Amino acid sequence: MTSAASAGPREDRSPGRHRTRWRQLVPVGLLAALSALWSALPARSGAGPAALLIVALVSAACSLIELAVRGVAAPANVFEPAADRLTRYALSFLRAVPWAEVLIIAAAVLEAIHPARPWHTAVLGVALLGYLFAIHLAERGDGIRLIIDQLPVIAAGIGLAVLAAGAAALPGLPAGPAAAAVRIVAAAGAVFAAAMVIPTWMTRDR
Amino acid sequence: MPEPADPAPYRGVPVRWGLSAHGRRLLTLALAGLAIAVITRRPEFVALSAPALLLLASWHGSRPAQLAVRTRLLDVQTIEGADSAVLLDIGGQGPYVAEIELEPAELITASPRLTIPPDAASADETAAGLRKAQVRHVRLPFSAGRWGYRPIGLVTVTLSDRYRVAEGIVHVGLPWTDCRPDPAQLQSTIVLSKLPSRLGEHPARATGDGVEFAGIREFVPGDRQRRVNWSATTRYGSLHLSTFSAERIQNIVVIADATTDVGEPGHSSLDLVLRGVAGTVLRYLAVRDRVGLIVFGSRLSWIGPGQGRRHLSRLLQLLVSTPSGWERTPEIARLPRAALPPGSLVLVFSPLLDPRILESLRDLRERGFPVVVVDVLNAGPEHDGSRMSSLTGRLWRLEQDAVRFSMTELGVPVVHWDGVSSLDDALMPFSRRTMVVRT
Repeated sequence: MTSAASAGPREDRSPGRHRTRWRQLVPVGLLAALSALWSALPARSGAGPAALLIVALVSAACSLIELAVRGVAAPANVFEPAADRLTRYALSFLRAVPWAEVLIIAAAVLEAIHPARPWHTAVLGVALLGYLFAIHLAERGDGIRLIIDQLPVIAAGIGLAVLAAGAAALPGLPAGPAAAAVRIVAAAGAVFAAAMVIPTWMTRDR
Repeated sequence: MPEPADPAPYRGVPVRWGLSAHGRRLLTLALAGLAIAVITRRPEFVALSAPALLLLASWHGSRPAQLAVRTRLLDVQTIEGADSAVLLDIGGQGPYVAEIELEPAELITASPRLTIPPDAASADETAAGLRKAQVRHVRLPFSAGRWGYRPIGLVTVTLSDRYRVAEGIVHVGLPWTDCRPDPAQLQSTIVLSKLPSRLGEHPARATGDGVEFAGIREFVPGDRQRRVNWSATTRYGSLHLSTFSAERIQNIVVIADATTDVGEPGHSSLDLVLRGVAGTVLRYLAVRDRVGLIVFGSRLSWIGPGQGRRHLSRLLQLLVSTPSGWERTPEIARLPRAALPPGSLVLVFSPLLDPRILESLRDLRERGFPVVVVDVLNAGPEHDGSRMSSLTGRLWRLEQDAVRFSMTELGVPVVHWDGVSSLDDALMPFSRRTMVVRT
């Protein structure tokens, strides 16, 4: 008789497993690639940096794929053919590994094996933060409004990052007009960060 | 739609709090930056951690430990494919956004998640007592794709703070739904030429006290004067009166063959049997006939003919609650006499695959019951394109044709129903005029 087996991808109806829109995947992919490549620049020779870069790129790609197949349910058939079984294993593997965390750690370590360069590190921090928020938006299917609500805290955090990078750059700066400009920017960043943090901290949910 | 009565009391469901996926990723970024800054003594890595640390600092301790939840079903009984809803009353969410999603069980379709804005009550007020908290009423639509007594699923309530760093998860179990088969469309009825002498609504051949005009005859002493037909009396010159058809009731016994279930789920033979039986029962009870039901399943279940809404409910309950399958079915060739009043019309919905139902049909015919079989077999054996497979498929089809031919030869008409079109089309040869009973 005609079998009752279902074929083809089904939609996963478990909570939070809605399909991700393609236009929400674009910033995730761009920011993931930017973070991985930015942390590897300038390219260093050796097995360690190459391996870390590969790990970072694979993690970026896998996090993107995991988001793309988020709404797809794994085939659940008692008499599953080999293709269905492989699809199920692949989906389980994609969902089991925290790819974003792996990318963060790989990018941070890749950045750490380079010589000290505070502004480069600060830009990486901003890129990684943007990547995390892009993933967050893609997972939830929410619009940019979610970010707008959190904008004061994000801006304050970026201000703190600027402050930290400026503080790191200060001891190594030579005397001269460029160093003075950097000091002024760092001081302005500190004031800006404080101006953002204090009201946010005062009005936070207790 | 009517509001369900007797709502269950609220119950406190503990909230399981933790970092959200977004919070975990921020924590990873913060810890990675801080660890590298400490290990390598490079302060610029604090820049990696700073934004994440600031967002994580929004975490605070006063969170509601439990939610007050009450669930009800909008309809105790649903029909497959029809919209129904779970009514969820939720209180005590405090200043947290609540996302509510119905995680559907198998063959249940649910609507997308709902988002509820925070309460006006603060977290402290919420923690102090649920009574102060605002109660929200949520309607979660769902529909069951197939008949049966089946679970709806779980409701997952996710509380999120403003920065989506922490989230509290609550799982609420839902009651089961009693889903009835979607009744097949049937507007016509089959009426037998011989009806039992019991007051009903079908005009019979015999004259009686009905309202349908039957003819004119000469007046004899004792006749009621109100029946005098004055036009005929004037024309014939002697007293004539109108006669009317007697109105009799009809007994219908519907047999549902649940011994086999073949075909695609949702359109299988068992689905068609149940939908056809549900439509038939509804139709005949609507015209105030007495309807009984016999279900061949893993056991033989039956309810004698009766009328009324309560009887309808009993019939539908029997229909969906009888387990299908043939393994434990005893010998069912001889049907119980109490389930089959004499002169009943027997309508059988079956794929005609089980030989025992064929024996029962022969027995019914030999006992003089007028029987009509609705054949619901719409699937055939799959074949792989080989010559042997083609031959076996052809043999199978010939055997099925022979079964149906033998039934017709016995005086049991077999009509095919595809489950898509109306049952009226299939039963039209018998519903257009009264069905003559041949014993």
